[in-house]
Amino acid sequence: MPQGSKPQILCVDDEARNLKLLNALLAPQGYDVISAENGEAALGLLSSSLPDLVLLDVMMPKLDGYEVCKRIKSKKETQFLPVVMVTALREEEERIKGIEAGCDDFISKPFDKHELLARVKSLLRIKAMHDELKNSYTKLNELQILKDNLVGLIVHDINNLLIITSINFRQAYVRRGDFPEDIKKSLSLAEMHLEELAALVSDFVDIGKIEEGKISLNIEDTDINALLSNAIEKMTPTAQHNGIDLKRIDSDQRLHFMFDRGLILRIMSNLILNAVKFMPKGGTIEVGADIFERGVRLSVKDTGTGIPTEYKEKIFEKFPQPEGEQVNFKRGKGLGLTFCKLVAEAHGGKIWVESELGKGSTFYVTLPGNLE
Amino acid sequence: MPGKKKILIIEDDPSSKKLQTGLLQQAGYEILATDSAEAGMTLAKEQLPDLITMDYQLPGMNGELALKILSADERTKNIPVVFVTASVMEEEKKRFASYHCKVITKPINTRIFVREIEEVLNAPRK
Repeated sequence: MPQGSKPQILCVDDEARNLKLLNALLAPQGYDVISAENGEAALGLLSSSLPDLVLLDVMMPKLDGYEVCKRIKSKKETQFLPVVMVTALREEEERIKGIEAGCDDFISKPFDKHELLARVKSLLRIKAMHDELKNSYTKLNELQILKDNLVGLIVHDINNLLIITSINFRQAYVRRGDFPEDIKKSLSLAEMHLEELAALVSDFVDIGKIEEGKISLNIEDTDINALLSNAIEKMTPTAQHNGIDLKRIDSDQRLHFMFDRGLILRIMSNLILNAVKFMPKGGTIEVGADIFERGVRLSVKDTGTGIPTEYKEKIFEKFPQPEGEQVNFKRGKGLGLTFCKLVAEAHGGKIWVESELGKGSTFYVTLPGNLE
Repeated sequence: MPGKKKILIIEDDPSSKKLQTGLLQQAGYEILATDSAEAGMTLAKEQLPDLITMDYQLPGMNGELALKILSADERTKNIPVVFVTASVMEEEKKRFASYHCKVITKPINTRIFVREIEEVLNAPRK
């Protein structure tokens, strides 16, 4: 009901006398009363405008009150509209029929003025609360969309600046040999963090794309062994910087599959980076791949702190880091694993973690081998 | 490093970007590659490449707008632009001709791509 306007009550009765009586009772209380002389007319009215309450006579020719009530309650637009059955019948059976039809309250004819007004008032109050809740929900949704759009715009700008920074930086970086050692070291660190930042932004952008169904997989023949070497090579500087040993579990299997090579490489980089961040110095990360149900199973095993059981699913959600949580749990950026999950699923695959507290975790990604 | 010519590639299709980068790098050019047209415009001004290849239809910016941006700046208005584009309808061909830009259709012919780029690069400037 629009704020400040009078609550509107629709009275449905086949006897003009009753409609007149209801009007005489309700109008002086400040209600806007409209009426219909039968069920069809009532349903017709409801299809074009929504009152705040319906007072519905049960005994009417053709469509009786139960049927009208059923129809009101089965339509999405009117299901929350309160309906009061007005009936001369006092039998329990009739009331049960009314409840089954979905009505919200009863009032018996001949009605007591005070009872009628009290019931109307009470139901209107509930209706108003419901409306308020619904409005808040709509508003919240609008705000959420606004926020998502805003975040999208900001990330878009960050991404562009990042590209420009990276390319400019690269001009200096390729000539780092000409610089003294300390500058060389700074350049290497800057390069490492730029890569990390670029990966973070890409994850964010691509998560958005996958969620909107806008990503297209660039499926190509992928040599898994070469891909893993590539990922290890890419992440070695970061691992070394953090004092972590990053290595490949030996495999002489030839593994060729049809995947989006770039995206799977980013899954591996993400899982390795994740492992690096959740591990104290001196740990080991082992990266492996083997055949699994005619597809491939990739694994990243760490000797980190492990993941408590209750977080094993949660860590794949967007921004899952529990607040103020123990040891290393706060360091994650909270997007990498979401990205991994969405990309694995876009390939028809799966991702999960097996973990033992204090010993370490192994992340598995399985990808079917039948993509073309 | 004087002598090495710089080419800016603006292309959002990763495989096409990779292919162009590979071919031109091998031919001895310094390559700056980006998938963002907006970043590409800033890079053109900062890096002053000798040539730009660009997908005609990029998210948020088409070639026509890019040309407008480039020609509005003294430093970039004379940089030759080559459009690399998937489909060229007859009508579009006329439009491209009015830009005085070379157009290469995708998929690019790897055997002549570098030569096509070099023809533009070595053409006498207006």
